[in-house]
Amino acid sequence: MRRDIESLTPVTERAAQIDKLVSDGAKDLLARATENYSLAEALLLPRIKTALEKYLLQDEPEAASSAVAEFIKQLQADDLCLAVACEQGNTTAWNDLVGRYSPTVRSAARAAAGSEDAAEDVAQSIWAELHGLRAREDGRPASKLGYYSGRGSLAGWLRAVVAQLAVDHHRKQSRLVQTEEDADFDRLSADAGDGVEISPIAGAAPNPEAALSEKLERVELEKALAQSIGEMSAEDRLLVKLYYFDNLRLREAGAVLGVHEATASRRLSRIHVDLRRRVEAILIRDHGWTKPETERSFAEVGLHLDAEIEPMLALKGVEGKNLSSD
Amino acid sequence: MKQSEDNQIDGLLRGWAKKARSSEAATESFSDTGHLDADELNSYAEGVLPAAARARLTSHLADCSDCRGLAAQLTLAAGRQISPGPVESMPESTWPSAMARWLSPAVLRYAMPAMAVIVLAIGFYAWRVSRREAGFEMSKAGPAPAANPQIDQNGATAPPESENGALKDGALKTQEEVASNKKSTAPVKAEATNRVEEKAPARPEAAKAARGYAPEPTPVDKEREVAKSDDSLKPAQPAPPASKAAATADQPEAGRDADRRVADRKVSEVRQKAPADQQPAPGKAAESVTVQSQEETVQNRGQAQNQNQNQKDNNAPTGGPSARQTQSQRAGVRGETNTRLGVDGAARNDESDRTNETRTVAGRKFRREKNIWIDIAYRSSQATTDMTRGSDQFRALVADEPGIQTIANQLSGEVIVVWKGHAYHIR
Repeated sequence: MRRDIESLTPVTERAAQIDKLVSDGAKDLLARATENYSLAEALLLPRIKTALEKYLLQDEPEAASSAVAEFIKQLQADDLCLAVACEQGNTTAWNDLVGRYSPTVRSAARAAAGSEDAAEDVAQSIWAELHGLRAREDGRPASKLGYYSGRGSLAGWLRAVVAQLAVDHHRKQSRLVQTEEDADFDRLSADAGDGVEISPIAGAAPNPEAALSEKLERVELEKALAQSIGEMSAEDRLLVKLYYFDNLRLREAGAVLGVHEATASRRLSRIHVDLRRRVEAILIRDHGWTKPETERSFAEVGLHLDAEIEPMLALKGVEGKNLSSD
Repeated sequence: MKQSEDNQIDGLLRGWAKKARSSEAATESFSDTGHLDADELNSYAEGVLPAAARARLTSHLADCSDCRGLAAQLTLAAGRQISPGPVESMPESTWPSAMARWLSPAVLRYAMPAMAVIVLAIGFYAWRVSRREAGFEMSKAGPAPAANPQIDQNGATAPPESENGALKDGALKTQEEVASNKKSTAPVKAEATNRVEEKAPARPEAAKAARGYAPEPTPVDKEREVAKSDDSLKPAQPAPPASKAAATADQPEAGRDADRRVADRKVSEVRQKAPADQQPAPGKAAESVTVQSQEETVQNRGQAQNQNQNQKDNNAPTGGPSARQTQSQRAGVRGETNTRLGVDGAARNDESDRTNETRTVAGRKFRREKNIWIDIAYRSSQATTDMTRGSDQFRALVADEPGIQTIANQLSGEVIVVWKGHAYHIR
């Protein structure tokens, strides 16, 4: 017996320790739940372990016992018990789920889908997915609720499921019924977005040679910028993408990052400084630019932006005329 | 960073984002493995992930427009309230750049006037302090012997007149001792003396005096007191022990009100007894002295005139040795006049009381002599400008010097005040 204990590897000890913590956590979770639907502790163990592995041990394999216990303690006891009970086919739980979360699913579907009909389709699909369309190995339906970890709220999880389903639904529909007008519009948008075929603006490029030179400079500048953004931290990169790509307001971008608007603003200012320094360094080091050349090139950016907006506006004007004539 | 540079990089980013956005294809379904699942998206949006997991998901979101869009949508739907966090530090700032920021015109525009105001305020305060000190120096150097440091009978230096605040403290200390030993006998008094000595071991004689009365007066002591009282009209009197004690004793602010109440009660008791005890025993005399010193403290707290009037009414009939001792003790506690009062009971009348009275108004000290409040900075050889309250001349003066108005309001009757080198006699 003693030899057996001594032969336990640290990994086994660790696993046993985790198992103990998960077991204790499951007991606590059942005790905390307002309605636990008489669930057995054994039904919760795999769910808790999966969540633990996915969100904690994957990134911190040597997480302290206290951190593990805290993680389990933070799971949503009521929501997790409801989801597990539904997955187990508990009718009472299912009625509770439908009664409690139908409005949430419906409003999420309306927000995600383009039309009321599409929203209704999405909502029906969701309930079908939650109940389970396919059968598992044990013969029970494979409910989507099996993927709910209990880390976030069940309502939020349902909204996420609806949103994903709505996007997929929209894409399928778009592929099937894409009209000729849509294709034209996409082409026009792409042309306007590329900005490659922009007609020369008076005063911007006096001759073709200068225009070519300018264009090459611009390409190098943008390459340096892309490289600099790639070198930034994930948080900074996400902020740049949210603000410039997704056109979110600073308040919204900050909310995604979990920071206040003021913090997001300060962070963006810092990113500007950092990016400019990085871009200048790349241009000087890799492309042989001089400091005055980088400054001049940055200064011309504003002019180019103005130059690019004008043809876009003109394009939209033509489009508007065509639409009105139709 | 300059605003123009900020705009330049902002414009560059906008242009680049426009191109990159169009080239970013979103072709994969969310059921594909490359995207975050609903549970991850929701946990991220609700901000309930451990830091490491959140960083991993942030990295994915930064490069995946589909997941990013959903995460943003879910975050806004969750309506998570975010409070302003700690201020993030800006990019590293070098010493020259920091100095340049501090010395920038935008900062200096407000900083310089503010600095000038501060400097002027400090200068004005210093000037006021120096003027006040100069006033005290003048009063010390003047003919009145009161301000000179005195040598008491124990050979210790008495505090100068300017230590009036300390004297008050000493008097309050006396009250404290009386409150705790109201009906004490001689052994108890000795014990109290020991306590005081523990507090101020360097000057045991001062600690004894802090109680406001001398050690049990022997017949020899009594004679000496009488002799001192007889000499009280002479200048350059030695300050009594109470003055010295007052300079060293320290009274906490908190107990002062309670002490004052005890002192008031004691005073009223003694006043009731006073007519009957014309010739008190030595022990009683010591107690009476203590009470008188308490009363002086009350006077120093702005009730001087009323107290004097009461004192006049109550003490006039008394005239024994204890009364003389009381009067001389009061003079020592006050420390503001150096004339020792009362050779006998008849000498201690209204006139002498008023003669000893001093008040401080608008930072200036006045002593009352024959119903005239005289600035201690005033010299008898100095010429005065006479004027009456309410006269045009007076109004013109106080319009320029509001401080004189304050003095004239607070000191009733005739006042001689020295103001900016000129002496004004206000009636």
